[in-house]
Amino acid sequence: MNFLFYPILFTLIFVFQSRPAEAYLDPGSGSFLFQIIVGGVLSAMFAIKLYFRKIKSFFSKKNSPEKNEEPKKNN
Amino acid sequence: MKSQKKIISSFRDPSGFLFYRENQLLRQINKSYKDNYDFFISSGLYEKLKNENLIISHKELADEKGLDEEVYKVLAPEIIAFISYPYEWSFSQLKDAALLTLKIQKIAMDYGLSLKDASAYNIQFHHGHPILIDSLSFEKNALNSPWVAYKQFCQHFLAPLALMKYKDLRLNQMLKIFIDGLPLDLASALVPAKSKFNLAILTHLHLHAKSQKHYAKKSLDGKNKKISKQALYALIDKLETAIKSLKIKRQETEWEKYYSFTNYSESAFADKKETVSNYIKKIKPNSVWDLGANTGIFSRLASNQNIFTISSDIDMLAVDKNYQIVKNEKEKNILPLFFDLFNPSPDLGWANQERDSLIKRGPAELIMAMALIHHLAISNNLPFENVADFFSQLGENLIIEFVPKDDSQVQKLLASREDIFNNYNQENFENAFKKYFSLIDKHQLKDSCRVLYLMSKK
Repeated sequence: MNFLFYPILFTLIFVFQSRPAEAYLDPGSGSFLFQIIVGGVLSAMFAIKLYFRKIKSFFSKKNSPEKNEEPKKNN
Repeated sequence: MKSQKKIISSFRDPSGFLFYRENQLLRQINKSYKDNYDFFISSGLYEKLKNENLIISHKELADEKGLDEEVYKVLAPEIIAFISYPYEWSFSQLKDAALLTLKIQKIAMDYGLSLKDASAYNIQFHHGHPILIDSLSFEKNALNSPWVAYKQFCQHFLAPLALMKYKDLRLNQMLKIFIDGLPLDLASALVPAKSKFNLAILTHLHLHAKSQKHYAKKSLDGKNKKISKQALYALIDKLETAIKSLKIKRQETEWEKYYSFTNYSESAFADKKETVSNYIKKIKPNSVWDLGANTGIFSRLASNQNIFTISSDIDMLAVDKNYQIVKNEKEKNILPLFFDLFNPSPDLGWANQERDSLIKRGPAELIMAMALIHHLAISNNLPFENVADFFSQLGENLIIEFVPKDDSQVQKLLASREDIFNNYNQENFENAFKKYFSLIDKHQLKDSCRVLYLMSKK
């Protein structure tokens, strides 16, 4: 997923700079909000990964159906 | 008097605290933590973590009334043989402690709970592996907001591990200065720029530090404080990837080849092992601290007799290698630790009472100091009497090896400096130690100029 490196970086920079400046906050707030941003990006990456996996499995099913029909082994 | 004493280091968490009653360690759970504790038990999380040896087990004491009216329940936790601190752990020990924390967080999330702290001091080494010792670390209803322990996790684990990996293994010593972990802005400034090519380090250390700075003087009011469970899980998962990606190169330690080029013949080495083993059997100690243990060859003479043994060294790589042996061999009685005897771990933290000094965590029933005296006396200019005094504070009994001046290892130490050690001889050594110890046995090693002593504290 390294191709997402720059999109993530730019998103983070954009998000940080677009926050309006307000009053006081405790020192943990930076860590708190950072997780919402990073968590959002990671969650999106995960969704994209699943999406690509679905497409991939759709085509691999079409092209090689025998692969999915291997008999299940008990051990 | 220890009949009833609150342990000050547990002041941070209002959910409860540790105390001693009649020398038994107990944990009071306060009423304020009742709902979380009940759910921790009823959800099955405690059972799951206990069965997988991830958390220390405890017994609920129905008759114990606790120390104050805040009491909900009192627990008697299983006892850890020796409380060690992250600044005494090698790279792999800190890494395993970090991975344990994340593993527990992942499991807890499946049970609808979350770790409310991620302090490295909540992890201890027990029977050869890391284990969580704080049963009050879990909270419910926390899975749709960011992980409250994220910052602490990065400070206690990620930052020191990144510094150790990218800069120098000895930088875990910075944890002695920063009691709540390394500030991320400092760690971010100290690790080399190449660490930014590690996407996980870039995110959780560098950008995280920037975010802290950016939001330091801003309010959270009106901002979205929710995070989906999937996002939270992804975050923990990526943190795990980050920690796993940190690996150190397998280098040769300073002492690794020590035994192959010291002046030990095979018979001298065998004689030394046999003598030490017999001395241990004679004392039958419950605890052994092997000082200057290298990778633990002599420590294992004790631990293999089912004696809890600390195998300490000043060489971080030797400690790490020793720990790898413990892991590979699934050894339960040996704990490799980094001890700098020239500057042993002091009392640290609030009122100097949060983390105990090395001396306070003793005494051991037996101290072993093999091939160590010349390093203390010559490399650190310590008079024999100071060494004897210190050892008598650390332990009840002592196995010590005297290395005379004409030994090649001593000559090596003297090669680069003026010999100002006219008092460094066997007679002065014996006289100094006699002030603090009674001699039980003395053994001239075969094919060697070195002498082993077994002594007992006066």
